[in-house]
Amino acid sequence: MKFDNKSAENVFQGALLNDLQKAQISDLADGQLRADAFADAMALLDDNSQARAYWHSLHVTGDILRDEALTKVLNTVQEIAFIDRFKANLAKEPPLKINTQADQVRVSDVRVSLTAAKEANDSFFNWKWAGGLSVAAAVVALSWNLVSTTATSTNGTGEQLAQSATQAAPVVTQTAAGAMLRNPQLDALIAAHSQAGGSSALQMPSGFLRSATFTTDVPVTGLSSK
Amino acid sequence: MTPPPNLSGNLPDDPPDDLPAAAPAPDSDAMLVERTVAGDQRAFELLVIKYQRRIQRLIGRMVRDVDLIDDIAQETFIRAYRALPKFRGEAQFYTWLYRIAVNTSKKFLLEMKRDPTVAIGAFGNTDEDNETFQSKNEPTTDETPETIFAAGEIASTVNAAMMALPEDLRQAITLREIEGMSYEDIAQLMGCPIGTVRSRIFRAREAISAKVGPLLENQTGKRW
Repeated sequence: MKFDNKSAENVFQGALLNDLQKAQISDLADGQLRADAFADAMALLDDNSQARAYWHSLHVTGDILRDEALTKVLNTVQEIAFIDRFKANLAKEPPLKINTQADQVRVSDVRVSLTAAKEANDSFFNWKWAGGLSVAAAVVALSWNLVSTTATSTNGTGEQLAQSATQAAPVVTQTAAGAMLRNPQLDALIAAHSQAGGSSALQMPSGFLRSATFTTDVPVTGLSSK
Repeated sequence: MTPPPNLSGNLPDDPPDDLPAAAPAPDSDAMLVERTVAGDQRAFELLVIKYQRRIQRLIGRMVRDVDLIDDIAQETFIRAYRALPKFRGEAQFYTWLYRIAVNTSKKFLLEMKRDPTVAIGAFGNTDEDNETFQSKNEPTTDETPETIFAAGEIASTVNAAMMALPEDLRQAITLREIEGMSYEDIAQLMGCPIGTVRSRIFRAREAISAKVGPLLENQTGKRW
């Protein structure tokens, strides 16, 4: 919403405001104006004492609605005197100096961003240097580990796994009881570690029991008769 | 010998209660600050018009002498103006201003403590348990029966004008001014477009201002 603030109505200070201008000040109070509309409202408030009185009225109303106790300090005569005195004090102030580049950042932009806080070790350059080196060393170590692992898995370990898978393939052997699937690698392991076959509840090696089970020529009763 | 006042008992260091607890609605403070920093002192005057009552009341809780309140308030705003380039905008402007007012008041009170000619009555009430001290410490000097009556009349007029508003206008202005909600949130709550919210808030303000404006002008007889 834009207004022609140079209209005849506003040439004289204190010209009565129209509804659009009042609405503009209301929007300004609520932070609803941007760019040109904001500049127009500021120009209106600069030019027109009625506009400033309306601005004051809006905030008095808001203050009373929020906290009626504020009426105890409501004295418009004093408020205007306060503002006049403040203007005189402000006129003695030198122009605001923006010293650093950081100060030139737009406040409205900073409002929604997080400003980096000053670290406790800001003044210790060596701390920062050591920290940076540590991080770089960690990255290099992790990268080297990753590269070497990848290379090994594609060239060495993969083939070994394939070979052992081939060796471990089951074979069919003919026994007296018929065809039997056997794993040669497992057989080799059992042969090498037969003494670790464990013991049963009968206090005999379990390997013996397996042999006894497969030895069908000798009747079980024969054992007991001996 | 009268013991020195317990300053810490009177200084409201906690964040102000009248700030919205949830995400703040957009306001013009940041833009006015930015414009002030860019060299427009009139923009800062608008902020002073907006906040002087709250700041004066805050200072009035700490000191009793109304002349001192005025001086501290002036100093508060001047110090805020000088420090504006350093205002980063992480906090709301009023929260920042509040801290400056508290610190300025402390400085004044400490200086007064060193001045043996200052009467102890200039300090605020030091009794922390006395719940009535805030109302006692409101500015009293320069208040005449007429100004007290006028202030009361303005307050009652605002409240009466609020009650006379149609329901939709009253709800909109309440959500905005008292609850501090944004236009977007109010639109969602009331189930209407943002433009309608904007219109309702303006119409409510206009209706209240039509009643209060003449009283404010009668109170002053002066122009802003």
